[in-house]
Amino acid sequence: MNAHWADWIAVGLAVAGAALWLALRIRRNWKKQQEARARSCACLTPCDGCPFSKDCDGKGS
Amino acid sequence: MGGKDKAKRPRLVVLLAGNPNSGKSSLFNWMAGAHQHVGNYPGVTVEKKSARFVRGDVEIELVDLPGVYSLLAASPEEAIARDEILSGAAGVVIQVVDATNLERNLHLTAQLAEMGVPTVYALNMSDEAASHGLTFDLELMSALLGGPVVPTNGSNGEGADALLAAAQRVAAGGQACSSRVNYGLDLESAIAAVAEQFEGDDAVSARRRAIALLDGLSDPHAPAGAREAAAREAARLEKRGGRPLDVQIAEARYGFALGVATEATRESSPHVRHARTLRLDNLLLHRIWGLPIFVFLMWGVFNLVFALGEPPMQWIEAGLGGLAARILAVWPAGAAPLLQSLVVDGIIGGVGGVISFLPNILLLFLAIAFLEDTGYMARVAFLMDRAMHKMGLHGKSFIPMLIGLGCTVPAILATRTLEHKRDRFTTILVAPFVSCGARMTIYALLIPAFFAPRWRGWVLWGVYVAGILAAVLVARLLRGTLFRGESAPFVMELPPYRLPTLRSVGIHMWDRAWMYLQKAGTVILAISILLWALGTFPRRTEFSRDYAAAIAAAPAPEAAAALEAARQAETLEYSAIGRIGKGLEPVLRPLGFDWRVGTALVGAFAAKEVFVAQMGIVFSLGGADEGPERLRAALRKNYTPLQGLAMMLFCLLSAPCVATIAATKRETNSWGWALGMLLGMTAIAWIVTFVVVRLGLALGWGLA
Repeated sequence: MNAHWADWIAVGLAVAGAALWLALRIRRNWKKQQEARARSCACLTPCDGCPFSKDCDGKGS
Repeated sequence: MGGKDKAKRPRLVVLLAGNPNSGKSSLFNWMAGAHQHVGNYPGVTVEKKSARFVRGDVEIELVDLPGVYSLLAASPEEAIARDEILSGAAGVVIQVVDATNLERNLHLTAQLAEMGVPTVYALNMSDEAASHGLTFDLELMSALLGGPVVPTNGSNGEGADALLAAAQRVAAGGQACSSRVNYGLDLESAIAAVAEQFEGDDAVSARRRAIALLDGLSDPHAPAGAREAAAREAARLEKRGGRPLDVQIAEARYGFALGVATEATRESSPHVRHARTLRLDNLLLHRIWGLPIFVFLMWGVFNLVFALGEPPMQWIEAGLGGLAARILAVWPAGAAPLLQSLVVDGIIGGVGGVISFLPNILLLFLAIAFLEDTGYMARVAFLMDRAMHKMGLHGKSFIPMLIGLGCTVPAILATRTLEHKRDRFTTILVAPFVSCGARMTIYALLIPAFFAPRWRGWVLWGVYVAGILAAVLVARLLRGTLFRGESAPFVMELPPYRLPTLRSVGIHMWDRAWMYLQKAGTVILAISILLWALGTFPRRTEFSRDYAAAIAAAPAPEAAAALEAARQAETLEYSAIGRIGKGLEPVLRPLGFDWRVGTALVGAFAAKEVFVAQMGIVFSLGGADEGPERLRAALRKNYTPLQGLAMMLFCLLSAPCVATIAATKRETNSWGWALGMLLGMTAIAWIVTFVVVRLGLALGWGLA
């Protein structure tokens, strides 16, 4: 293979790999946050009977 | 096979509960062989943490609960602890009791006893109590508390194994804690009247829920009959007692605590107790000298960070320079120039630049860990309490701010210790003004670049103070507008002074170094590669002049080098990052920043260390050699000290990193607050930096 193209391919793979890794990391963190949100209210206690739901999101408990 | 054995192994969940700063996390580390951060001030553990390990043939899951004074669920961490204890998943609860503060710690015991779970007591810091002249009758204490009492020492792990053994024994026996607070005849009859309304509950649960209702706590699932009975009994007892029922219940619990403490404690030489602590407090908490001593100590720390950090930083720099030179030497001439630039300019220039500052970061955290572990930082919170109230912040807000010296994300999580929304939100919104460890990387690059050695400590100290001042002023503004209302009173626990152990400081340093290197090797590496690509493409093919010919015809090597630098500057300006920077330049020019600083500020939004990585890449692509000292020389050549100061101020006050914004969103449950923080901080940073630059210009300090 032409050395010029090998250089471009190597660099392209490195840049694409870095971008993909960052994107997957952001996605994973986002999903984690959504899961945590589904489990708990903002004060991280179960929303059912959470004594802070009024303080956390403005709605009454 | 191993997997099969593992599946068959019996499992035991052990909860570690106790007052804040009772040494739970230290014991957790000893028992589980974990490296969780511990500090000699309350509020370090705000979320439950767990570790799994095998002891004998049992798989143990040890859960470190947030430190709480009660289980009334009056704050989020109390709710977490209570819910975990009541979930039924735990086989046994270990309550860590601070032997030097027995009475106060036993108030929690009184409530734990109502939970009906098997309990073991760790009499922690018993060595310290002995040095205060206190000894205990462990047998009597066990009998009074209804569970085994094991003396432990969180600083050297003494008793940790015996504690686990006792927990396993109690769990195997399945006996609930036999201790019970006697609330007195009137209250006990009221409790019984309410408890009988909980028909589906067992006796322990019915009693606990009845006490909770009488204590004024809401129980949405309680039968209407129980609520009515509680209201009736409360009215009767309040009339009879002449004071609120929750006060009467608290008095009974404190009575229990005082009784056990008095019965089981043998104070052989009371005069020894706290003598050393009192002597030190007279000096360090002095009304006049307390704060100046703190300011002086921090000034000393910042000077040490530069004085001791410089030599190892130069070793790392030499290593990185050697690595780049070695790569260039072995790289076949003319082969794969793009890949060579990616490795040398992008990765070594970017990631290497960040790694070089590891010694400075470690020294700063060594000093903070030392001050925390000795108990001094809790005194600082005490000293700051009155000032914090005057400024509109809750006294407890100082703890998240202290944690913010490491990283703003856990600082925002630590605001959960604040009970009121207005206190929590104000602290969340101002916590990012406190300089985190990542920002320290920026200061470690810029301060030695622009300031003489004798001024470095002062400048760093000034930047940290500026951050705290900004936090205070914004807090005052928020409390005067969006979050009006009085701050709740706060009693700061003052732990006894302790000499930090090598292990505790070592764990802290190792954690910090590992986190820093992990971040450099993952996020910073990926961002450096992307920033390198943005700084390299699109590639310029046409230049303002024929540089190749001009360089060939240059009369001297210096002239050829200047022409080469000009060619590389044109290349960089043409790249995507150059265009982004040029696009930002009109907004940043009034602050004395050029397009190169603009690109680094954009990168810093991902993670603050990227500012350093990006400056490394920009100047490396622009022809400067790799390494902080060479980067500093390039910065000195292109910018003035006033611009250096402006960069630090802007990085300090502007939008925090994306992780902080996400944490803010999570904790406030609102994108509005998170984005408001982002825009508000950036606006403040722009205005303050603009004013400082204009003042500097008026004083005759120039811009490049």
